[in-house]
Amino acid sequence: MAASSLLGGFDWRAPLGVGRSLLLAFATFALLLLLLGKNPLSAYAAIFSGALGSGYSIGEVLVKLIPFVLCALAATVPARVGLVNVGGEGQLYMGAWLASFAALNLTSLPAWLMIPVLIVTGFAGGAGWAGICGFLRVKAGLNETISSLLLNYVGTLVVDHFVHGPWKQQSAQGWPFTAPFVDAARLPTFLGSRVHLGIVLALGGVALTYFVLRWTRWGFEVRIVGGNPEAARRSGIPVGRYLLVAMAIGGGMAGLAGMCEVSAIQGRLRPGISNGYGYIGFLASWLANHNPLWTVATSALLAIIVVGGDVMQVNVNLPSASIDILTGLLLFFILGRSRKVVAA
Amino acid sequence: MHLFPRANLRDPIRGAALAGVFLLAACGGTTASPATAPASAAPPAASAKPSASAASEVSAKPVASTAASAKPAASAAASAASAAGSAELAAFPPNSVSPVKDVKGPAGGDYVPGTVVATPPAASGPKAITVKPGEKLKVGFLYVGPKNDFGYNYAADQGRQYVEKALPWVDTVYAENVPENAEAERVMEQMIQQGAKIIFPTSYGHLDPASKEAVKHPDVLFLHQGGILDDKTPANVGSYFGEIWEAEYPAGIVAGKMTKSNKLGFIAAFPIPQTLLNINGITLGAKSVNPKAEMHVVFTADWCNPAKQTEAAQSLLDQGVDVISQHQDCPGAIVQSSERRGALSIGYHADASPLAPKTWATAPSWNWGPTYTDLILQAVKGTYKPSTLRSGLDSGVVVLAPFGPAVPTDVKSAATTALADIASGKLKPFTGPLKDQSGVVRIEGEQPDVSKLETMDWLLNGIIGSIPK
Amino acid sequence: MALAFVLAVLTGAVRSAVSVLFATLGEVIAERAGVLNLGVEGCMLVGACGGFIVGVETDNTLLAIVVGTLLGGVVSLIHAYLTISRGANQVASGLALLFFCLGLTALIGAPYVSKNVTGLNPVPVPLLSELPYLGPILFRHDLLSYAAYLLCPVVWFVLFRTRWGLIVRAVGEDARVPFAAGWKVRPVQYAAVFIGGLLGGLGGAHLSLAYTHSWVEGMTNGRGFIAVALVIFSTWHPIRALGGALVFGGAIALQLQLQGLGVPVSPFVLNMAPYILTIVVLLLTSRNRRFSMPQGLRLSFQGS
Repeated sequence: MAASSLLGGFDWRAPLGVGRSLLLAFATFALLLLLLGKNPLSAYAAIFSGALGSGYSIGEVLVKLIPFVLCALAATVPARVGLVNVGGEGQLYMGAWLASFAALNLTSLPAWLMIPVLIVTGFAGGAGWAGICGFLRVKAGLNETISSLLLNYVGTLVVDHFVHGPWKQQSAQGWPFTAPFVDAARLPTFLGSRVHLGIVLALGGVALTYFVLRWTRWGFEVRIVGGNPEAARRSGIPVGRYLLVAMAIGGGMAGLAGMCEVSAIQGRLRPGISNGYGYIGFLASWLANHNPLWTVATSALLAIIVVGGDVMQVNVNLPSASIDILTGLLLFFILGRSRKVVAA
Repeated sequence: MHLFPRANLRDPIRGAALAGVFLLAACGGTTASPATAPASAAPPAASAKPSASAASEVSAKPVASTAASAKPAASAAASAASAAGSAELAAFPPNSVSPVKDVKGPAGGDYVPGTVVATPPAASGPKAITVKPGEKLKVGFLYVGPKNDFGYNYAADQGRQYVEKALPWVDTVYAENVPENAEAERVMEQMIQQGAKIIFPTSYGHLDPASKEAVKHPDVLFLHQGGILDDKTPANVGSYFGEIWEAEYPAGIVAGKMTKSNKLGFIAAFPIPQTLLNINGITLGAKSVNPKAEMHVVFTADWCNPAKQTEAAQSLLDQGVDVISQHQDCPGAIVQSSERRGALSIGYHADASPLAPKTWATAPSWNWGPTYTDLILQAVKGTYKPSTLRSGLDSGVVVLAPFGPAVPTDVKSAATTALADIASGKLKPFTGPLKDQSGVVRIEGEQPDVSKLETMDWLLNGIIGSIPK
Repeated sequence: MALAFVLAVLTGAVRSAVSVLFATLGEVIAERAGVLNLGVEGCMLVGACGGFIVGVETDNTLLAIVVGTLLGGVVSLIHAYLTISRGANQVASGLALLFFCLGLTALIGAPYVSKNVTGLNPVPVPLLSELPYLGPILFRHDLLSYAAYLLCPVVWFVLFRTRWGLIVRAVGEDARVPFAAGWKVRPVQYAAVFIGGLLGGLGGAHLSLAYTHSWVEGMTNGRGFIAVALVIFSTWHPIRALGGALVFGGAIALQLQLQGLGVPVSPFVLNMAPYILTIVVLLLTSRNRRFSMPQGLRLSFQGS
C-alpha cells in the first residue's frame, strides 16, 4: 500500500478526510473533558494559543518539528523499499551517543569543523544501529520490525549506561549526565529563538529524499524493490544492498535527530533526551502514507498538539499526560479511515 | 508519552532555606521547638502538615542560615528575625482577608502590595517585583512528577498551597511532570506569558532551563529548589534548599533502637551526594544507639518505579531487614511493602503515614510553605538578593514527620533530643574519623561545612551494598 | 552464600515475572491469530488503574481484579476493530492505543495516586511451600502468581489441543484456509485480541493490586513492550513464554542482588539481556520451522 502510491501525485482528498477525523477526535476529547468537569473550550483555546498564539510558540512548534520530521524520515525511507523501521527511538539515542562521543572528545575543534563532525557522527550512529537490523534482515532473514523494536531498548540502555557510568561528569555530583558540550559543539540557533540548524537538516532531508526518490535512477530502482522485490532481483537490481542502504539512511536521519537534541537543545548527553520521538516519527510517517513531503504536515500537527498540551496543563489543570489521549483519539479516527480489508 | 525511556531524574541536591517554622511532633504528638526546650516544652499538639503554629518561637531566635554563599543569607535571616512578634497574616487588601488559621507568614506579614519597603537592590540584582494594589501576583511552580505522589513533589505542592493561604494576593499556577530538560523552558515561558513574575522550578534539573529563561526575562525572578549558583548564573536566579540529612540522623536513632534483626535497609534511586548524605546520616544515627546495626543499600536507578521499588523492598525483607528507609520520589510502594510484611517504615519527603498505619515510624520531610512565603515577600519588598541558601533543622524547613504508633516513648525522646541537639549545633553527625567502604578515612575531625558535605561520593565503612558505577 | 544468592535471585525473578507473564501469554494468543498488539502496555495500564480504583472504592479485591481484567479486554477491542475490521496498520494502531491509555489512566487515576488498597497478599501453598528451595521460590506468592503458572499449560492446551486453538493458529498462518473450511475469520481474531487484552489487563491488575499495592501514572514502565519482546523470545509458544518472563524477572532480581555483593555490573547492561537474548534466539531458531513466526503475522510485521 505504502510503496504503491506514487510519490508525485498528492491525493488532495486525503487532507479533507484527515480534517474530518481531526474534528471527530477533538469532539470526542471535548466530550471526555466535559464528563470530567473541565471546560473543553478553554482547553482548546489553551492548546491553540499555546502552540500558535505567538512567535515564541510557533518557534517551539518548529523546535519539536525537527526531531519529528527526522524520525518520520527514519520510517519513510525504509518504507519505500518495503521495510518497517520502528527503531527510530533507538537510532535517535545512538546518533546522540556517537555525536556526544565526538563532542566530548574533540573539544578543541573550531565550530566550522565541529558542526560537520557532529552531523557525520550523529548520522553514522543512527545509520550503524539501523544497519544492524538491515544486515540481519538481508543476511539472516530476521524481521526488521522485530529487531528494530528490540534495539530501541538496547539503544536507550546504552546511553543510560554511559551517562551513569563512564561518561558521567565528574563534577555533576552523581547526576547522570555528561559534561556540557563546548560552545563550538552547540548547533547555531536562529533569530533568538530555540529553532536551530536542525530545521535545515530536517527540511533538507525531506527535500533530498523526495528528490532522490522521484527524480533519480536510484529512486526508480527503489520503487521497483519496494513494489516487487522478486521482479527487482530478476532484473538484476541488488535488492539486498538496497534494503541495507535504505535502512541505514533511515537510521541516520533518526541519528541526526538525536544529535540535534543533545547539541542544540540539551547541550549535553543525558537520559531521556527523547520523549518517544522515534515512535511519534513513525506515526507521522505512517499518517503521511510514507510520503516525505506530507510527513512535514503530519509532524507539524503532532508538534502542535505536544506544544499546546503543556499550556493546556498549566491553564486548565489537567495532567500533562492527558494530551496523549488526544493524540490517541486522533490516531484512532485517522486509522479508522483505513481502507476496509478485503474479506478473507 | 512518559512511558518511553525518559529522563526520570528528579529531586535535587539539597540545600537551602530561610526562616520558617520548626515543627516536630514529639512524644505523644506534641510539638517541641528545638530552639527552646526540646522534647519537653510542649505547645499544644500540631498536625503534621506544614503549619506555622510555632512561628513565633522560631522568630525568637535568629535563624542561623548555613548558606554556601553567606552574604545574602544574612538578609534572609535578618528579615526572618525581624518578624518577631509581628507574624501577622500577610494580607491584601487588608480588610478583605480571610485568614487561614495557623498559617502565618514568617516574615513581613504586614506587607501591603504596592509598597516597596526596602531600597531596590543594586543594578546587579533582580528588579523588585511590584504588585499593584488590587492586582494579584502570579507565581508559577514546576514539579518534576505528579503532585500527589506523597513524596518530593507532594511536599513542594503543600508549600504552594501554604503560599496561597498565607498570601491572599498571590495567585499560583503549577505544572506537573515537567521533565528536567529543555521542555521545562517552554513550560516556564508559558507561565511567564500568562503573567507569572516569580517562578519556582522545584527540581534539580530545572536549573539549566531556568537560567536560560532568566536571561530572556530579566524582570522575572526564578527561585530554584536545590541548585548551586555559580558566576554564570543570571542575576535573577536564586536558590534555596534544606539540609534534610540532618533529620536522617534522628530517624536513624529510631531505626537503630527499633530493629530486632539488626539489619536495616535503604532503597535509594541514584548515588547523588544528597542521597549518600542521607544514607550515611541515617546509618550514623542507627549506629550511635546500636553498634550492631547493619545498613543494606540498594539503588533502583529510577526515581519512581513502583515495581522496581517493590522488588528491592522484597529482596531486602527476604534478607531479614526489618526497618526500611528510602530516598525515592514516590514512597508508596516501599512503605506498603513494609507494612504488609510488618517491617518498620522510615519514609522520606513527606508524612506518608496513611499508607502504613501500623508500621510507619517517621520521615525526614520538607516544610516548604514558610520558605516559599518568605522568599515571595522578600521579592516583593525588594529585599531579596539571589544566593545559594542552605539551612536545616534550625530553620524548620526540614522536619521529622510525626511518629507512628509503633514507636515507643523512649525512642521518640531519644530521637527528639538528637533532633534538638543537631538544630542547636551541639551535635554534629559527620564528625570524624569516618571511613568509607574501602577503609580510607574521609572525614578526619570536625564536621565539614555544607559545601564540602554536598560533594559526598562515598558510603560509610560497613554499609552493605555498592555505589553503582 | 552462593546458594542463598541463587535462591534470592530466583525468588525475585518469579515475583517480577508474573505481571509480564500474563501479558506475554495474552499476546501469544493474539499474535497466533495474526494480530500484533503493540498496545499491550496500554491494556496493562488500564487494568492496573481500573483495578486499583475499584479496589480502593469497593475494597473488594476479586471485583477489582475482574474489572481490571475486563477493562484491558475492552480497550483492546479498539485495536481489534481498527486492525481487523478497518484494516489499519497494526503497529500504528497499537501505538495509538498505548498513547490513549497512557493519557486516560494518568487523567482518571490522578486522584488515586497514593491511596491505600487491600489487594492480594502472599498465600503460601500448604505443603509445597515447605519444599526445600522450590518452596520459597515458587510457592510463597500471591494467588495470581499461581494462576499465572497454571495459565501457561492452559494456554498451551487451548492453542495446541483444542479445536478453537487449531482455528486460531490456522487463522494466524493463512486466513484463507479456515475461511475455505467455512470458519469466520474475524470473530476468531476478535476473540484472540480480546483475550490478549484481558490477560494484559490482568497483568496490570497484578502489578497494582498484588505486587506494588499502589498506582502511579505510567507505572508499567515498559512492561507491555517487554511482553511483546518476550513473545518473540518465546517464539510464540506459551511454555517458553514462562522462560522468557523469568529471564526478564531474573535480570531485575540479579541487578539488585549483585549490588549487595558489591559486584560492579551496570544495571543497564543487565537490562539489555532480555532484548539481546531475544535477537540471538531468533537468529538461532530462524532456520527451524517449528520456531517460526505465524505466517499471517509476517504481514503485520511488514506493516501493510
